[in-house]
Amino acid sequence: MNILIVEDEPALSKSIVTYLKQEGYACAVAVTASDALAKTEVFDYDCILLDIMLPDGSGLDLLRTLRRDKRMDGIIVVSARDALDDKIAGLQLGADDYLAKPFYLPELSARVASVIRRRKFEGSNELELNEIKIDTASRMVRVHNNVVDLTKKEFDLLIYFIVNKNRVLSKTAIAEHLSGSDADLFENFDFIYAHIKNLKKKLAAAGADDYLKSVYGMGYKFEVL
Amino acid sequence: MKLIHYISTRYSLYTILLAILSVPLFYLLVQRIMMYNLDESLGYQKNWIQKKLETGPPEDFTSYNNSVIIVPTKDTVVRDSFYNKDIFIPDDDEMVKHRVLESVIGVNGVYYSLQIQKSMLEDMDLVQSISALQFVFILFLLAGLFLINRNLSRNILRPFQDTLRKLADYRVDKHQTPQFERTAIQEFGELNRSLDALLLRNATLYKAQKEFTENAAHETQTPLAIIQSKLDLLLQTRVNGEQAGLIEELTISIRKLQKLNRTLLLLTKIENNQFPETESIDIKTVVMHTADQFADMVTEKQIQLETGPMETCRVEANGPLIDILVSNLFSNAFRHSTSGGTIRMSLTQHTFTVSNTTSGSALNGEQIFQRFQKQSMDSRSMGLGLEICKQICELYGHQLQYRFLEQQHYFSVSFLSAS
Repeated sequence: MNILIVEDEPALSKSIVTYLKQEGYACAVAVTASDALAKTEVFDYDCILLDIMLPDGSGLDLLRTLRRDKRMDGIIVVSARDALDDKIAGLQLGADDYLAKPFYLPELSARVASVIRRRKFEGSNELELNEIKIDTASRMVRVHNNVVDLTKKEFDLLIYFIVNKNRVLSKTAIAEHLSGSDADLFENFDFIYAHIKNLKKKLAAAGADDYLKSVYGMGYKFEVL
Repeated sequence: MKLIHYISTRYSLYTILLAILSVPLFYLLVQRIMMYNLDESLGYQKNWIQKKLETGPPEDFTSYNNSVIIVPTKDTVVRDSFYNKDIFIPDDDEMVKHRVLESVIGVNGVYYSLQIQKSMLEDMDLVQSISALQFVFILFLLAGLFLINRNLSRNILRPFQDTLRKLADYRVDKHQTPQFERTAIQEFGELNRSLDALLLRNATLYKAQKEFTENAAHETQTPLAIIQSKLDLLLQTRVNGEQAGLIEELTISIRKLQKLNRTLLLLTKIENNQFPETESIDIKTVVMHTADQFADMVTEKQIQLETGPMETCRVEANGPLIDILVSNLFSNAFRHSTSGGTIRMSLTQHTFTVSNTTSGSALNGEQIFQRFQKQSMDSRSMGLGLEICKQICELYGHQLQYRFLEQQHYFSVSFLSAS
């Protein structure tokens, strides 16, 4: 899977590359809009992370150009500006998703995976991990062919964990993945614990291994050896 | 007191004083001229009588009211003397002041005592006439001043009053620089030019400050994103529980900064009037949508969400801003509810109300809508949510109110021109 990161801040693109490479993605970095355009003319990317504010123009113009050329690359708009305008503009211009700075790398990774799934397989993608099979389109989860009945939150959690497998995920990142930016309305993130406990219980009942590990003081980890 | 009245009162007082003082002056002057003329005329008459006496006897002289009396005298010294004397005039039935010339004349060796009388203008008449004249003068003067003042305020002062009115209506955050009326008066022209320059300078400063806030908020997001990404990577290395705890605390602070930036940006944009598009919004839909959005979170926190009467209420406003208004009021209620509490929403034709039960007491109604006024111990709250609500309401002229009743906080928005 090829990812193009269009970002003029090297410290940030370096972090993204480090994280995504560990997930097995091949990453390229473009610092300017013209650089990005040149790269997209030569290669096809599965997903493009597009910063809106670039030194030589707006990422939205680049997005417009790519969509006009009927390019099918998945595009996630990343912006430091007020979410409202750019989100609407980005999605209207055909971006697949929108992420506001600052973001969690696990969140970015989950979004990238989701965009690639939707783009590559027109939404009907089976996510498979050992005995766990997930149909992301119909939101169906099977373990050893036993259907596991999950709530929406539990399903979202499972996908999030699988995409970020073998990663330590902090409670804050998980809470924000589940509740968006309103997560800070909670005094604490104890509610995640309840969801994770239920998810663990349901997976275990269906015969899955115990992948979900609590990492003391840090958060959780979906451990696949 | 109006400037023009202030000036004209002083003018009028001075003129009246002058007019009053001029009455005795006029009197003395007129009397002096009159005396001089009378004395002169009496002198001519004496000369004429003297000439006549050379050709005829004094008995020939008859006059009205015995105004000329010629009596032979033993006196031989020729002299003239003038004096005033009150003489009774039967026709008028009153005493009339006369100027009298008493002289001794010698004609052909015979000496006569000659007395010629001439009635004078009455002192009282003179004073009255002059006073009346001055009174009429003052009357005309005041009437004229009044008319001129009225005309001045209407025409010449109009541009000035127009400037005053426009200044009173001026608000630097409304982005409309007033256009002052053209005026022929130099001072008003200068005033308007100075005001134009001042307002332009203020507007520029205001804009620069707003842009600074906006840019600062934007520019901070990228470094925050870098810090966050490094923390995410750090968490994947071999860290112990203590270090992970530190990372988590850092992360929470970053989220707070991010939210603060976003909120400041939003406030700046509202104040900058950067949400000009309006549409007819069904508040009921917005409220229901918000309730849906928070449904999960309400369940997580074990809060009872009740909806009261939901009537139809439409307002003309910017869609995203109304979403923010409703959702902020809801977030506020959510944040300050304790587990097991109740949030209640209701909508009448004009008013949207959110209430939540609390174990605490009433909040300070004057402070809650101010920036960074925290009412709770919750460190995650920044006290900007209600400020945003207030700004949105002010933008459209809606009323945002807080009440505390029966252990419940009530926040309500009364929509202006809701239908």
